[in-house]
Amino acid sequence: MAVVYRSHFQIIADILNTARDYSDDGSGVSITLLIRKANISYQRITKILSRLVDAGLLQQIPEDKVYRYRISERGIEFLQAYTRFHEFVESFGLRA
Amino acid sequence: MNLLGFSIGMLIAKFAYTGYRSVGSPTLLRLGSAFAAISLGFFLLWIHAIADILMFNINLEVLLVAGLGVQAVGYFFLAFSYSIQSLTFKHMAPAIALVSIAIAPLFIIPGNSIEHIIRSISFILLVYGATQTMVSYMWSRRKGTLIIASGLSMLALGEFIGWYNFIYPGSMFYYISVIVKIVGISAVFVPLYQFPIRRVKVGSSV
Repeated sequence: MAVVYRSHFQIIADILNTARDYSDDGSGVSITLLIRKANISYQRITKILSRLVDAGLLQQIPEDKVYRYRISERGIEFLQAYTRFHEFVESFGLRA
Repeated sequence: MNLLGFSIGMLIAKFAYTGYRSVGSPTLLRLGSAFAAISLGFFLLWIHAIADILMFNINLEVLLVAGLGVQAVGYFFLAFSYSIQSLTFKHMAPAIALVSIAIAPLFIIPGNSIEHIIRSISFILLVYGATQTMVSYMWSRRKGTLIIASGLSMLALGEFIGWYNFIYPGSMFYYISVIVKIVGISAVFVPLYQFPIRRVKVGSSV
């Protein structure tokens, strides 16, 4: 079976999707859940999370010496745009 | 007809560029650049046709070569989008072999004009793109991907028929080539009309 690699933007979409789908009460999700659902290493996810927070796509909520992450309005807009353009790129058989 | 190709190419390029501005994906930038170049090529070929009909005192051959050259650059960006996703030599080897075949006329056909060399390079790049899209269809079974693969195949066929004009100069092959290419780029556009061209203001670089 062929190995299908995810692009950087697919990983970001996976992180944002997890932050949206697993935070119904608005308290955000833990980094452990994000690692598990997005399936990437701790070292890599910390860099990506920092960039997503800087870009305003995720909100960082401090809780007992750790942080939880919640998707922002801007993050939801990004996800919607990504889904639309991802379909467009996939039509060409490419990865966004 | 070339003006129609220009309009369709521009619509695809605009959508891809809008996507790049919204989510920042380099794949969308490459697709946008590819279709902008293909579209510009159609525009130059349209100017060439108009100048030919109106018999303007300009070098028509330069316009034709420029139009085909710019389109070849677009086809290169398209083929590059596929090859960059599989950067191992094992995956790149077919592309390198095909491009080597494409530049062969430069050495083996004496007195060949640059127009036909460009056409042969465009043909090979399009065959590569169409093959990759078809392979992708085998995996995804998306109808849109199949239509785009057919469109790219039609563009390749158009270039091939245009190259045939080299053997029978002054024949109908050139006009048939233009029609087939327009049908090809229209087929590429068919699965994309469902996407509205509207920028989502995210504008972040992530």
